Amino acid sequence: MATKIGIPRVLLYYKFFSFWKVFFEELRLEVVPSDETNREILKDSVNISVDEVCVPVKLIYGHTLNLRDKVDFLFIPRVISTEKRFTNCPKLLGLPDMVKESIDHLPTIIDTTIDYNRESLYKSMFKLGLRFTKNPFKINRAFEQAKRSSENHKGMEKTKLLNNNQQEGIKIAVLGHPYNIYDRFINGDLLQRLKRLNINVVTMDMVSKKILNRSIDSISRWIYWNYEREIYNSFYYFIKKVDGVINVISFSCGPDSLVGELLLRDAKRYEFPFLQLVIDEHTSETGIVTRLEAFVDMIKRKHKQRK
Amino acid sequence: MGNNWVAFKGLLETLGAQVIVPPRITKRTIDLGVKYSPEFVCFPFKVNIGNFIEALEAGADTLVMVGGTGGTCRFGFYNIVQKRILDDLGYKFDMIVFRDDNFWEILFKKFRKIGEDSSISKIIKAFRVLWWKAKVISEIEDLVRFNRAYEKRIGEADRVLEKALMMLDEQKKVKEIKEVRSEIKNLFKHIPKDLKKKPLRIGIIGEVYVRSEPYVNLDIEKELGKMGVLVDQKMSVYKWLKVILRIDLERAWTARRARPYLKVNAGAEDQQSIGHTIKYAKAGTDGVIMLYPFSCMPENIARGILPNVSRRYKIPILTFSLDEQTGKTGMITRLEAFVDLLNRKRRR
Ligand code: SF4
Ligand code: SF4
Repeated sequence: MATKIGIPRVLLYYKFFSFWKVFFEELRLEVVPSDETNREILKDSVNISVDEVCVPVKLIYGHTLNLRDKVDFLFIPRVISTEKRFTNCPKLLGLPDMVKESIDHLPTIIDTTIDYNRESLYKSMFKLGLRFTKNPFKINRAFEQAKRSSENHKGMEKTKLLNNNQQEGIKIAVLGHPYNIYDRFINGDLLQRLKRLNINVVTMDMVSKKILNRSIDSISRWIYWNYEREIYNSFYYFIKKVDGVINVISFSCGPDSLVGELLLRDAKRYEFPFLQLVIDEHTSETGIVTRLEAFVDMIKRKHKQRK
Repeated sequence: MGNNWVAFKGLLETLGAQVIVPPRITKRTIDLGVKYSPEFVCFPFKVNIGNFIEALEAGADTLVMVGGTGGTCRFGFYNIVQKRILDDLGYKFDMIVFRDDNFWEILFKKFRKIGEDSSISKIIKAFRVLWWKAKVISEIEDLVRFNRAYEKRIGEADRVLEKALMMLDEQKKVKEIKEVRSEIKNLFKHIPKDLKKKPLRIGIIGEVYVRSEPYVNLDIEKELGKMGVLVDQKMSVYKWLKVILRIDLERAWTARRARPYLKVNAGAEDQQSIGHTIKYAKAGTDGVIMLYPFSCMPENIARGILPNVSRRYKIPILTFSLDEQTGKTGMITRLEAFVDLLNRKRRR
């Protein structure tokens, strides 16, 4: 039986899963992601976690429990930064420790540190690979394959979303951390709902890396959180191209409480339709739907007036 | 920052600037801050905004803030959003932001503008005044903690505290500060004490700002003092100056202790909170109280880990997550229960 490595479906899973998956599979491991977030996982998470942290971090506990008895290893990396000179939210830095100190009888946790400021991704992954094989060529190949697949994957996601969009109609950009946008359970299936309302949805995945990372103004220069800067930059990228922006943020999210405030003020200044959806474990679907519908109606009215 | 306005005022006055000490924090400060701040930003941000507005109302034209690229938590980004909020409110002001890469530049260029005559020797002098005043304040605070626990008449130590701060504030030269320092120590020595008491000992850990600002932490140290508890707290501006100048070795040691539980310093004081808890446990301290602003990121990491540390080292921990809604009565009830628990534990 192959050795199984579990990957909780939370946080950076939504960004790097295809990379991690191929990497581990090339090393002859069986990759087991946890189930999609469901009621039970959410319940476990809320029970174990400190009550005031953001939902995405809470969910790590439920997803870990979901995997605990199914796998030999658990992959919970400590992702300090994925871009030189940038950093991630502190909670991602402490993630493996928070899990270890809160749940008993865990399988071996692999808490590789990924920090571009310190060493290249290649080096970090190479060290990780050495735990499973002694053959450096194999690790090298695994890394190359993984890289290729994650690039393909990004391309696919993009075309999938674009194919869904028609030429006509309202276009809305949904901005926020991928784990808030793509976890359907936690955001009340936001993307599908928008589609059902006949909205063309665009996300940050469709913006090129160059645009996401540049310093567009004196403020974006000082945003040291990698993903928040991407959100900020794509807001300015989209503001000329779409009819409205929905900014999804978690309750008690540190970085978003500040950067989100800047976006809110900018949108107001330019009188640009902007909806900030704050989600937590109590968020009800009906609540989201009501707000979405009101927002879409508002945009439609604006359209008519213009015509 | 609690009593430390005395130290910063000393710094700026020596530079020749006219200092407007932000009026003491009041309910109005908090209300203003809450009104104009993002809803779920951490509490220090809101109090800052309140402070700034009140200082601007009083006629200040320059605000000083610390920011930076080195950190991970919210603090380094405070200044950008705060400036935006105050701009939107229509205030005209200049904000000086100390960042890790412009420290000297600001010191020698901007501060020169503030004062009418700011030669290098004057700047050095100003910093010596800051250093010494901060040092004396941290000593005073330790004396107050000690005296509150042992004093025969409750309230005596706090009366001496007020007086001591006044005395310190009046001094302009390092030499005078040193003189007044021994006078102050004498004052505390003369408070009638009952040294036979064996007070409970409680260490305070958590986020720096709420620990050092009595208005924000609802005067928790004083309340504990009234219950006859000897409070220990390893934070002061003096200590921070040492951290900034990287001559604080204790900090690195404390972080080392925390490492088995939290491998990296995720931000601010998280490793310190864990390390100090272990240290307190080993020193036989009766309990630990953790203070932090609601939704504070680093401290919530620590809080996720501390229950395990508490179990392993058998030291009870009480946590307060503070914001504008925290009520004093609730806090006192919980403190009394905690003190009871510790007393019972001791008798056993
Ligand atoms: S960035 Fe925000 S949502 Fe993400 S882990 Fe940090 S606090 Fe939570
Ligand atoms: S340490 Fe906590 S309270 Fe202070 S800025 Fe960071 S998140 Fe906010």
